Amino acid sequence: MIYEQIAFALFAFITLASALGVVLLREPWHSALMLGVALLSIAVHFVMQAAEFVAMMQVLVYVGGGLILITFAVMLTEREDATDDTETNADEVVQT
Amino acid sequence: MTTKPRLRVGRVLLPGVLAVGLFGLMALIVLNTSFGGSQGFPESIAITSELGYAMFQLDELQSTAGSIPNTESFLAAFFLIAVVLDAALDGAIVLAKREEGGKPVVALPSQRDDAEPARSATGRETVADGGSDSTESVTTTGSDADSATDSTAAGNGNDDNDGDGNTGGDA
Amino acid sequence: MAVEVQYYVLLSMALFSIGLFGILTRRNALLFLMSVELMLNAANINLIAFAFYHGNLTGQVFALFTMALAAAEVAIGLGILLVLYRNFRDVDVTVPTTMRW
Repeated sequence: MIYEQIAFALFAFITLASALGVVLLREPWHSALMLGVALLSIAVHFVMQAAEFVAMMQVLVYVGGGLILITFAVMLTEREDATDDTETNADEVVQT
Repeated sequence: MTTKPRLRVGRVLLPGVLAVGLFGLMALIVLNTSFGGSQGFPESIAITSELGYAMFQLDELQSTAGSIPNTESFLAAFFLIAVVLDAALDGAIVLAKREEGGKPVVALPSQRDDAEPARSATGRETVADGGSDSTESVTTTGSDADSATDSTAAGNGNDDNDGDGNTGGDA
Repeated sequence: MAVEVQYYVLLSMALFSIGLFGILTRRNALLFLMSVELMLNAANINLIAFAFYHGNLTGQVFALFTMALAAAEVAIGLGILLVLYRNFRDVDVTVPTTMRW
């Protein structure tokens, strides 16, 4: 069916765009949200490959467990000086 | 306060070229391979049940339709994964446990411990990592803020101990 | 006609490359964890796609095992991350140089 290919193209685009958002966004919290979007769209790919149980486990384990754990880590390791990106300039880290 | 999502670009040229090159290489291999159509699953089976049968090595219950009987059984792997998850739980507990002077400090202490060491000693020993001098200074300054902020773990008990010594009446 | 398997393989390769790119560029340990999750999900997509391609459930069972391992990895990784933050007040992976020779 042509609809399956349209759905595959759409969700492949969502998956890749949100994965690029994970690695390119500056705030770790935004990256975590983008990771949630990527995991959910990967679950849609699983459903399209007749793997409904794995898709449910993906949503429960990754989005419900792993992403919440990552969210906790983001909250617990919030930087005090979140004013500027200290990870774009590599020379600064030596003196901290 | 919410912040607008900003992209972080710059200083990504070499890893970007590397990742795109790897993707190009793998895509070249895939596109030169002829896969043919997918076989798919037969309509008469319930996939979730067959997953359970394969995972717990219930071979008698497996369906015989299509190539489902070629599904391997995974009981030993299931058990190994269970052991690995147990090990991960223990490792997470060991990593999250915080020791002060050789004794573990729980987040919500049920009883006061009279033999707690003094605060000046604990601050050094908690953050001791054997690093260089520069990191040592960072960690000591950090430990002050640490004991000031998380009051549930170390701050409360130590403050009380410093204040009223060994009365122990309010415990 | 469903989507052919090579597009799923391409998708998983692109996802893997993005995860590799994230590991190579970021210095925040949290982003390392997220990139590793992306790469594990790329492997899962491959497993599921080839399970459907062969009409065989081995790939799906193995994808479930991979997800359990990923959960264990995230638990251990976050424990290490919190210890890192407690000791160094930062989650930058280039700050801890104690074990560097």
